[in-house]
Amino acid sequence: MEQVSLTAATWFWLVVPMPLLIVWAIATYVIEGRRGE
Amino acid sequence: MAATYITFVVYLLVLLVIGLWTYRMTSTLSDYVLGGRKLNSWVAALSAQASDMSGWLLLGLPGAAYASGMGMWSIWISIGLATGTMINWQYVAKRLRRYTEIAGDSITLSEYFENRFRDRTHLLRLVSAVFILIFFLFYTASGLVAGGTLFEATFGLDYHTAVIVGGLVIIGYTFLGGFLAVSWTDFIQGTLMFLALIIAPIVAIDYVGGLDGLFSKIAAANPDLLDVAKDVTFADGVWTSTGTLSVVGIISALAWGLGYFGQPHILARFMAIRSDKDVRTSRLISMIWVVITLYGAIIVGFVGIALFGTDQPLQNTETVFIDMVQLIFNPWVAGFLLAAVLSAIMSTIDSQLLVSSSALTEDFYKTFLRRDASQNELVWVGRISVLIIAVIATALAWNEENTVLGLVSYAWAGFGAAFGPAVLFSLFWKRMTWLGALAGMVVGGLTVIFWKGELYEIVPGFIFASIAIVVFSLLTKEPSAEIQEEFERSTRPLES
Repeated sequence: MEQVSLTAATWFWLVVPMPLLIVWAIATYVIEGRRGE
Repeated sequence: MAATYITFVVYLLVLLVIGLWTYRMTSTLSDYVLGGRKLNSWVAALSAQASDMSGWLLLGLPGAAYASGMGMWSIWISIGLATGTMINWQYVAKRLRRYTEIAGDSITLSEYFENRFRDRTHLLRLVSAVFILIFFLFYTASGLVAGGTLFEATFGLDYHTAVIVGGLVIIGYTFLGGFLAVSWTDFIQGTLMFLALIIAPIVAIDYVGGLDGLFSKIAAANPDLLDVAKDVTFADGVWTSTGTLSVVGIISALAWGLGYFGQPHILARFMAIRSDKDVRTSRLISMIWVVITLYGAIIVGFVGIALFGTDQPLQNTETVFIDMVQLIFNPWVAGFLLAAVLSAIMSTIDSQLLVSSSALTEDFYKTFLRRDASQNELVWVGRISVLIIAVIATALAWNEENTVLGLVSYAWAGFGAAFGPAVLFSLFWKRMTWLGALAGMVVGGLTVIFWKGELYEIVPGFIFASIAIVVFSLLTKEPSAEIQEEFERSTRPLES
């Protein structure tokens, strides 16, 4: 079977932005927890 | 087939039991419409996400990913939706929860607008309730179309019979239990959707030979399906490249995220959360849920291309999840996974029926017809409203040519433009006035109805509505000291 791979741009948009949003949610969870909000 | 039937019936019975159980706990209109603001972090989070995603998540989105590959209708739209979800939870949820309690303990979005701006004319309430009824009828109809598609593809039922069977079950428990029933069943449904969208893609990727097998089979159908920047269309079983995605196309896909700030059925979850302190936990749960399920849904579409290829292309792209599950899983597991599709559909329709019913009960009946109606009378008017709305939505769903994606896209843009800017400005701009809110809603809603063009109508609708809010607010005199003081209170945590 022929090896096929995705372009660098496709990999980037597929795996970077959405997991970053989870990181954002974790960060705000921790920060607001410390502030008692 | 028998195993799939049994799984479905057990699942539906559980829902009806919840409806009966919560019926006993519902005695006031606030209980019926908002569950008395008692939702804990988990139930609020999963209920918001399950109501949000609808049959669209398991039918429309995988179908779009199947038809267009990794471009506009999968990766770009998912990024837009996930970003919109995060911003909504981060900036809107807590403020709205506080403000709706401070502003006369409002239990519907329409009531919030009226109380927030001290609108004695009731025009804000009336206009917003009219938009809610119009767009939710289309939205609810999309869910019934999805239900019809599911029962038709799974059991070979006649489409119209399938729409009626699905509709009866949903109406049954929304009618009985109201918001508590809907939120608790949403919680179960959200969990089921989450599990299905983890299990199905993992097993399916393995089935087609891992990632290498997946990519090479997709490339065999059309190599451009694997490129985030390429536009591919699907017709008559053939994928055709149409060049590079336009900037307008990418903006349109990302702009789906703008819709979140105006969806009444999602905002109702923010209003019903137990305390503003619960928001941070709900936000984290929601983000994990939404990112994983979006990945799961688009991967189902990609695997569908590899599985069915050019040999057995699908007639209806929106059945890709159903066809895939029936092909690769044993009937018991398939029954469980297909019940998740039903979950996705029902968890949205029930919430929408409830918000539409509260628009009729609270915003028309109580405001214009019977100011002194008793709580018991209002709960019953709410229940009868659910019935009336469900019947009209069923009539709209009767035409099989409707697509889930098309109907959802229209209603999503309508709410996003009519209410999104109005909600955002009302929470963050002290100078906003009654007339600004009214102008924003009308301009946003009408732009969506009349806009024609390649650009998704939510973009011009959102921009024009925002301009209208600013211009008409500045043309009228500053809000009263009482309104400004209330605004300031909404920026601080609630005193428990």
